[in-house]
Amino acid sequence: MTTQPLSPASFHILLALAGGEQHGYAIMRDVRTATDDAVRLGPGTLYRVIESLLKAGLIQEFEREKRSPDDTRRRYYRLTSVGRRRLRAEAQRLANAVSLARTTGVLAAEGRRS
Amino acid sequence: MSQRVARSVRVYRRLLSFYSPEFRSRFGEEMVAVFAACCERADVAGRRSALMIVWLDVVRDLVVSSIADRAGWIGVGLWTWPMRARARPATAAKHFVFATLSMLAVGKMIVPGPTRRAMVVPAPGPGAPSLLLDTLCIAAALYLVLRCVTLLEPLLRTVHSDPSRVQRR
Repeated sequence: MTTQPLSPASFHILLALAGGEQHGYAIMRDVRTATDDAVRLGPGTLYRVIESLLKAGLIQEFEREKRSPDDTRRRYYRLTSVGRRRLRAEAQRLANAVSLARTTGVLAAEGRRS
Repeated sequence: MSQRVARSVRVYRRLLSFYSPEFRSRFGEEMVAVFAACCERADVAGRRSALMIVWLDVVRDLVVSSIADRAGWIGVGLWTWPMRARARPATAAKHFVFATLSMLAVGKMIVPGPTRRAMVVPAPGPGAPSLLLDTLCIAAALYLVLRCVTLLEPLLRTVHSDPSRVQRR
């Protein structure tokens, strides 16, 4: 069965969660840092993508107890086993694309970069 | 939380009404918390431009994601065009000019002369063509706002990351 490629936002959110459970702000910060500011998710986009990932069963949410009375970030997210498999498949797809780009000379082969 | 941040959070909370009630009730509080965290982080820098950058990001995000939320089935691809256009501003500017001119041209073709004149002095009664032209104008204005935000933001970001550039001027 073939699956649709993930959107860049979905892929980066899943990637951020591969390291462990996180809350929304931490995901947003991680994506921004990991992509060197190339992918910047605002709160609206972040939670719309999270909503679609929840619906697809790729992530699940859970609540943690408040650490302080002011702490409102109680909702955390983590990858499901389906999500992890999907992330691996997407990473493999991208790796294959990069490999193809190297073979065809679009990208310089590793070790030959100037 | 500083007064400036608290004010921003209050405004953002009101802006959440652009999203559907279902989405708001499920993620509203989380979104406010994320926005507050972004503002607080920017406020630590102590510069007004840092908070302004957060707002520019959020306004664009709010427009794009709330429209997508309200009309998801129309096609997310269309609504996220301004975001994707950031990568190629020159091409995006051409697309924008083309889209605006096309919409105005279509509007002019569809709306008959008397109706156009009547729109100068709004008259009561149903007016489907004028409504269409209004819709087209709103769409053009929306594109314009998004384009302005997209064009202004890198400038502010540069000033913010290197304030000495402003001082030198």
